[in-house]
Amino acid sequence: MNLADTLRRAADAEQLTLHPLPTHSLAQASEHTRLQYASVLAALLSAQDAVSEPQSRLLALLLQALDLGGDPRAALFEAVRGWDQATLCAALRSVCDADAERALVLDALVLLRLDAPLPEASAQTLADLAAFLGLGEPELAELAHYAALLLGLPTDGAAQGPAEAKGTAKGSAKAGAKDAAQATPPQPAPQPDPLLAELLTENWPNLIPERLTVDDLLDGIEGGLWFVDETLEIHQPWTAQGATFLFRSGSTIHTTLAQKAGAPAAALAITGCRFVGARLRYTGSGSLKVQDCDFSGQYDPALQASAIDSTGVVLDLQNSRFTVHQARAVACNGAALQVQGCNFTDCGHPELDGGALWLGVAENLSQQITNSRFERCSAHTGGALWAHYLNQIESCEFIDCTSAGRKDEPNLAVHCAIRTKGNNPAVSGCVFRNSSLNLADASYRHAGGSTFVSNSQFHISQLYFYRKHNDNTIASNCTFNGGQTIDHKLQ
Amino acid sequence: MQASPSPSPSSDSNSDSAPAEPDRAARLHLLARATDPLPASALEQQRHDGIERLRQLLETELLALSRRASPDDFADIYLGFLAEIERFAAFCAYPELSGRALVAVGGGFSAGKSSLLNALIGAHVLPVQIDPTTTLPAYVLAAPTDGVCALNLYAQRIELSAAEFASLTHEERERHGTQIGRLLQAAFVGRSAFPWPRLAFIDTPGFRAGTLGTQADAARAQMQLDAAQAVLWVLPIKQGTVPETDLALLARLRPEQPKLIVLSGADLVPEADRERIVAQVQQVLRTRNLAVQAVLPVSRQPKYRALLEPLAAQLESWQALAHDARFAHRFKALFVRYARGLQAERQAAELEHHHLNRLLTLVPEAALPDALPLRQAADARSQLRSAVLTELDTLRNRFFAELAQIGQAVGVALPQPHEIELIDIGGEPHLRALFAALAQQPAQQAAQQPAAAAPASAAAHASQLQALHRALLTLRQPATPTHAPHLLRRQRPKPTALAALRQPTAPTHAPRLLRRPRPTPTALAALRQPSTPTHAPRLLRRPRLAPALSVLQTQGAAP
Repeated sequence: MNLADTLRRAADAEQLTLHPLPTHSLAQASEHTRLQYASVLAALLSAQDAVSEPQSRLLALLLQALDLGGDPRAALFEAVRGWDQATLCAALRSVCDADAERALVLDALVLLRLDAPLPEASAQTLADLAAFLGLGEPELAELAHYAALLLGLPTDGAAQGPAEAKGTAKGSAKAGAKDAAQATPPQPAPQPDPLLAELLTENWPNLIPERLTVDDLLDGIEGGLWFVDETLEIHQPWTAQGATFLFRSGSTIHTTLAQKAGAPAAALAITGCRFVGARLRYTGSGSLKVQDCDFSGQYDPALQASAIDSTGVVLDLQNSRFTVHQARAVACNGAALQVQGCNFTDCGHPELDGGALWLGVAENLSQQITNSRFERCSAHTGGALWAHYLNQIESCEFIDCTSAGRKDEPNLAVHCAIRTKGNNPAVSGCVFRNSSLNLADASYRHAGGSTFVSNSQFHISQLYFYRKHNDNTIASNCTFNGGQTIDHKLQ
Repeated sequence: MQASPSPSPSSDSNSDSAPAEPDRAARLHLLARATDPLPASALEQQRHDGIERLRQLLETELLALSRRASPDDFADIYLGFLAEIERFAAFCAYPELSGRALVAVGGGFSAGKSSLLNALIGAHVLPVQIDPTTTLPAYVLAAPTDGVCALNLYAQRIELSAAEFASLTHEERERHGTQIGRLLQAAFVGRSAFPWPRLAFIDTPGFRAGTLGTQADAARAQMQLDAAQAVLWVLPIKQGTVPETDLALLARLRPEQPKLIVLSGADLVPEADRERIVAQVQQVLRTRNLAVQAVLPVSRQPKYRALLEPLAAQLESWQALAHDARFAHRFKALFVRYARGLQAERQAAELEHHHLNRLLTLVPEAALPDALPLRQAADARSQLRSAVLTELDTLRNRFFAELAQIGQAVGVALPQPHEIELIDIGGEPHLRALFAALAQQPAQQAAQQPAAAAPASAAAHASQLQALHRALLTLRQPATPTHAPHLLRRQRPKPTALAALRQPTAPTHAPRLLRRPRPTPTALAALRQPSTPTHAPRLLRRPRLAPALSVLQTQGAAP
């Protein structure tokens, strides 16, 4: 045994502790349940001709993810050698009691297909297991599809992804199996979905994708990986926390909130969620708070979509990230808005105004943007922001934002009419790099001596200002490097 | 068989060296014996006739059945029968084997199997240079006197001298111009000093990955290992771990078979490394679901003889193992494999019949004449399989009756035909058997099972399983193996990342980095050009006067 070999083995083993799998969905279950779950996996591996080294390694990673420390592989293999009907039945009952049938079958599929195509004996054993757990053919095909995606295999078989998955929301696996059994035959999927494969790889073995329904939203979403494959209309407030949503086929969640007389306004909250290709549309009244969320996706340009589109619903966006290609990040019409600590990158659609933010008419309503960053956002006009009226932009950074529809100023980042509040400047502490600012004084009345832009830096960026009154100051304590103030008089 | 890299073969205790020069007459004599078809005695004739009858049953009746209906893997089944008949013939020719527990000594090519046996017995029993692709398995067992005999081409027992046996190495063709080792079926090495009277070792052929004949050797080794009552698996300790090829063979052995892993060449590594390697091998085996009794480091060097003691003690305990040579098990397993293949085909035909029945209810009456033949064809296939299954059962009974008769004649204990049903051949995956048993539980018990939906009938359950089986199609497609490095946490940079450093270029040795700047060779090019030597007369202050005197050197008339 040479030193190089020893070092290679040690490094290989170290990877297990340095890069563990995500915590297993069953990690919080009782130790007995986790052991039973792991024992079934070991029994399935034992049923093969031989347990390969990659399979043994992945089992070790899974046991680690199940929080079964101390490498119990040998003990598990030893234990399952003596299994009889009663012990097998008891182990599977524990799995079912923990509502982990689908997780078990998915883990088993990944483990058994790791090295080579499933041999006949393994396929039969898995069919036995699925039958025993009450999983139907469509549901097993769906899990096989996920396993193939996880393993980076082509998925051009009869199995399908979520398209035929029915009723797989939490606690409804068995009901879903019945529904799925009556579903139409699955259509072939020509190509694996790289986005889904990425999401699965990130989350397995913590999550199994589930199809979002209105009932799930009404129950409140806590964690999980959810598909939105059709437009959902919901008329009640809903909340989500720590979940991942994958929107497909241009689907939308449309929430309509009507305030009843005497009742408090509805308050919606989305916290710590990840949205891929999302289209969240809110109409009516009430408020939505989005905190610590991540919006991303490559949208169909024909949809001219917005990730969040509010008409009348107050938006409060905090510490969230938006990377929505070919779509606007947020549209807010007729409602107050607050954006704080958010990042907008590569947002915008060339035919829509306001790549990151579009703010419609909001008379007498507060609209503030603070501590946010807009980078490489582009739109027809106002690559980062287009607003009818805006109260304040503070401590924001605009970098390389463009307006495709403004041939005279292609680097126009912000296009808005703005009002000052008292003596507070409307734009302060901001940095513009290759991103110009176009402001129009929209103050209701002449305050006299107002300052609109202060303490800001313009690097290769212009400040266009449309002045109402001559005694107002456009910019104070601002630095211009390759840019200047271009003052116009409003007609 | 075993082979070692050393160029010269060693021999047994009676002969210290193989013949240096080919002895044509001796080789011809050996060749004549190796191909002699005549039995030496009436008993041998009886045994020979019995085995021929078994062969006839297989070569005529079984093949005739297979032409009517057989599963896709029938060729493997048939070859399995022939190989097992060959092994049975070896036992019949040397019935002393049947009273002993068979310990198979397995391991890769050049793992040290023969050396281990020599060290255990304390004598040079086996040549350590036998061709790894030979068909000659060597049995080693206790005998009143030392001697070697072999089974020739026609399964007749012939005596071999120690020198002849030692000549059956991979160099036989080069040294003697013959390949008699390939004509012989088995060798039996009897030794009076053999310390375990109720054990017999069989030295299985080694195998080497990536060489021709690997699969055949592995299959032969597999058959011999499976038939043994216990297994000694030999690994060179210098490998430091268990190779995948060895693990694959070990995994195919019966789980209940006692196994020992022997790490040969323990004297070649320090003691601390030895313990670490033992622990590592144990860990690998345990985490790959391979149960072994122990992992023992050994050495053939006299200085390390104490290392052999635990192994000797273990062998002592194996003397109590049952002596069953497992012929009945293995023949029954082959018959069962054939029968199961037919049953699966019959089941498929019945399912097709079931589906066609459902379809026929929807078919317009005018189309019935076209549809009915399909159902009749499915019926015919099902009935043919049933008939062949019945005939196969009859053939199996006749085969086992013949087998028992031969066993009785030569003293090899075998079960009677009516006892065959009681033999558990194993091989059925444990988990599948449990699932099958659970699926057949009564309804009230099934209701307590996790899956609330118990199948209505056996046919419905079979149909459900088939549908589920179909659902796994995605994972049964052949695809490039990836081993999912992202899941296994083995992501490495692509080899192309180092492409720039792997291009062959002129060595530079980076003189700038090493602070050894040298002027480029071209800087001195002007001084390296070949030219007329001048010796720099001007620098040397040696102006040539020759041109000045040339006037005086010209020939001309004197004034």
